[in-house]
Amino acid sequence: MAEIKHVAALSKLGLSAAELKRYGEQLGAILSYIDQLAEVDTSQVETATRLGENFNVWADDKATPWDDGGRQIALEQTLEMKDGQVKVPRVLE
Amino acid sequence: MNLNQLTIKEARKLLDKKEISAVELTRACLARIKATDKKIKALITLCEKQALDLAHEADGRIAKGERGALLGVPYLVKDNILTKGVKTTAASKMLENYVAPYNATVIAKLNSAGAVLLGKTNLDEFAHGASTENSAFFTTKNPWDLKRVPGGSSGGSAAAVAADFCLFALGSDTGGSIRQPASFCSVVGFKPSYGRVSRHGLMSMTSSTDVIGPMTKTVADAAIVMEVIAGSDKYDSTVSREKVDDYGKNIAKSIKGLKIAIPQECFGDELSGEVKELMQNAMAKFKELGAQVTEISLPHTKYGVPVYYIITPSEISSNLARFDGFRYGYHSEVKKGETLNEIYLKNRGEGFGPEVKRRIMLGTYALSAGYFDAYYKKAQSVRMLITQELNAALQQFDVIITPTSPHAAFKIGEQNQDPLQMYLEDIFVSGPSLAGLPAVSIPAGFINNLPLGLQIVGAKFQEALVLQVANNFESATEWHQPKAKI
Repeated sequence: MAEIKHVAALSKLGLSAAELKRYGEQLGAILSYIDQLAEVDTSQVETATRLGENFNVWADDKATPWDDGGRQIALEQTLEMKDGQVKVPRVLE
Repeated sequence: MNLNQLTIKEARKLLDKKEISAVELTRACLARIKATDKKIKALITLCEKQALDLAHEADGRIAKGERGALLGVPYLVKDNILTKGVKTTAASKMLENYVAPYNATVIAKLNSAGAVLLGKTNLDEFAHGASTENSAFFTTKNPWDLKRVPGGSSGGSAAAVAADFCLFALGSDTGGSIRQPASFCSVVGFKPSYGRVSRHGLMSMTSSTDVIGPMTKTVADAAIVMEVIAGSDKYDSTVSREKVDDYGKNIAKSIKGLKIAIPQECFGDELSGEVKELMQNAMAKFKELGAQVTEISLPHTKYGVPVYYIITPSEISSNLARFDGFRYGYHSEVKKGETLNEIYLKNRGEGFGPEVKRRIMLGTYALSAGYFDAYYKKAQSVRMLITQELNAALQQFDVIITPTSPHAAFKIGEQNQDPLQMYLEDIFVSGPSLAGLPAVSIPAGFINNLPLGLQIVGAKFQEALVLQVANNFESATEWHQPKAKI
């Protein structure tokens, strides 16, 4: 129970006592199923090969105007606006 | 025949000969949706006016002599893909009123091609699930049996194609979410290689396996849609620079001499006799078509699900961290004196549904100090072994074939109380996702009047070959022809 509370806190999820109990049980069952991975020998797996094919994509660090009406839609998603900016609850004590 | 029942290929001919208009075709789809979606519940949002505007525009382009594979063709989109100015909810209370401010790259491509967006389809919340029962709004019904699930997470798209609401739909596939519902609803569901289609504007779930793909009535139609949506994108650095093949070119070419591998692990004791028989009949058909069928062993197959349910939740816990309800999304009422952390806990605790919360917690746990090596690192290592094993088999053989799902569609409510049972749905489909391989589910028969698909998996970027094998089977069988009586 202490562990599931800790995980919920790390996950930033506010859960009821009933939820904590239910999810705790369900996650316990899922993890015991996943534990079968321990039987696989992975000693020869090279960490470097995990990445596969990757390449860097570079772009100039410069702002491009967002003027196709999308900016307005994005701003309309917010609860409260002030002076063309998104107003959020106070976050600093 | 009603116009909404047409395939893309059939509609194309009629549109180009001006025997039908895009507006007529769109109206037929809208009428079908309005008459039938009360029963199926495949759609979250219908864009009637916008669709008719787009159809008019397409008719104008056709009248001017323009030609294009999808010009004037109506389609539906899974609601985790961004459509500018249209609600995009991910079937979550968190984004219930969210309107997308830009188009996903696939939508922008379909727009330029002149395809007609009809609306948005239901899914498991944030694409977490295999039945659409995790949608925060409602469960979509399987057109073949309204008491059963359509599969998931792209269940709304699969049911919509099966019920002829549209000519094609888009789904997303992270660990089977296009293929399994295609199998349950008797449509074609194509998952491209990872990096073949841009993910820009697809809500991130598992960034290392997410792909967008078509759900269609025929294999040829899947090839047509793929040619429009595949290819590089400046907004997605994980899209491959490999050239996009002409998917339709060799689709009808004979598969004589083609080497098919059948992994014996997919035909174990737990698989029902009916599914085995269906697969044996399919293999007999492939042999008749001149292919060589060989049984092989892929011993790491059984670890696909446990690996997937570490990798996926881990990436989800990170990707869904952005939803805090501050700038957009669900926000709980703020009480005076509440701290920032308390606001986070409430917005996320109330805004997300049970499966999303389970996955976020599972991933957070797997990535947390003290457990990272035992879970995440271990899972990534086993993922490498699964990938190497599949790649090695695909060097020796042209394709691997398995059932798409271990059984036909299950009843609504039958297994949604047991998350682990639901995870086992992914047994045959998680491997190709973890390895980033192209795979398709095509109709392969019926068990007690319920459809079931078979899965064809190819080597990375061998989309054309996968489609060719699928098309050969489809042309030699009639499983794709019966329509759900709805």
